[in-house]
Amino acid sequence: MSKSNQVKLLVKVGIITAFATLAFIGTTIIRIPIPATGGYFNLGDTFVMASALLYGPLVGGFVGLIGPTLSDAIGFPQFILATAVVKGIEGILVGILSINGKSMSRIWIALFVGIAVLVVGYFIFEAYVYPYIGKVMPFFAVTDFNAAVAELFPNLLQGIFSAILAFALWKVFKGITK
Amino acid sequence: MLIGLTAGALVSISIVFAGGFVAFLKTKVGIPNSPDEYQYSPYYIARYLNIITVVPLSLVLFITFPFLQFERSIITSSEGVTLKQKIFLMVVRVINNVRYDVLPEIWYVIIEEKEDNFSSYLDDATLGKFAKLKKRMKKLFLKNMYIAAIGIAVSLEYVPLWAVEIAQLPTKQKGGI
Repeated sequence: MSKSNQVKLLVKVGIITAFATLAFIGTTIIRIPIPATGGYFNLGDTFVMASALLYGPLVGGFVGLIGPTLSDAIGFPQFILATAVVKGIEGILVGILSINGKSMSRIWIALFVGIAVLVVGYFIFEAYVYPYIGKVMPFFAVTDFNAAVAELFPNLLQGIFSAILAFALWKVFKGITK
Repeated sequence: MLIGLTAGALVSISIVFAGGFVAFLKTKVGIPNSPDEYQYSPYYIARYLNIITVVPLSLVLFITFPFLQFERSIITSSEGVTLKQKIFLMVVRVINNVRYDVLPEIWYVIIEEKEDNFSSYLDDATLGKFAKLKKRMKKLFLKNMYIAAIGIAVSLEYVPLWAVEIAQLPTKQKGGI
């Protein structure tokens, strides 16, 4: 591989590592309580969506796959499967839909799809996939349909907040990341 | 040290034995325990063991992992560096940068912002409940935005430079003479 290609590859690896580490820290350390719901907001999804908007589906997908999944490994290993799939797809889809997206509407559509993947993805895993796998492997028997319904609103709020922040970050960094 | 151990023991005892104690009380009072209740005990004990062992151990491993020594041994290798090692070097450098530069920077911002405890408008009698909530949400958003922007800017600052630097390292030849 030529030196210039190596530089390109290494820059991409550096960006993925930086955003994945930030998503990990944003999920595990920076937790800001939301008094209205009793839940908490974290910056993990913000970094997944922002990386996808700024650098495309490959970076977004890897960041979603690695960062939040690592934070689940510390304390919530049952959710590694759901997080890896949901956040990975979220990063890829936001990245694909916003490729060459110069118009605001295209960026917002991408973010809207990202929110939908987050909310619907976790709902499917918690309501159907985990109870099903849990019958064979008790390790995964941690949620049921009622718990999944209760999680819908906090996840939606988290998604909206993350999308707004990711949009603001995209506005700040879009000129200097190309 | 002693206070910490005492607190740890009290928390541990209450977590491990609370469920059993409640079940015992229910039996004494005459309330039957549901057969399903017993299946939750191993789950909660496992979660508790996980929290007191796996979580601190993983954090300690992350903090004490000898990233710098790894980096030094790869760079000083006389046989050259493979592409996989170059990728590993980049990952190590970015993680080190986040550990030593990004985290303290974010921490500093959080501490500084914490001192601003919304008192300026929470005591303002002219503002309605909705207006206060709106102001609080706006401030929360701006703080998060600030923290995230600093995190991205500081962590990506040297990535292009490191990429060029690492790519210049002599490549390890396959086979050899």
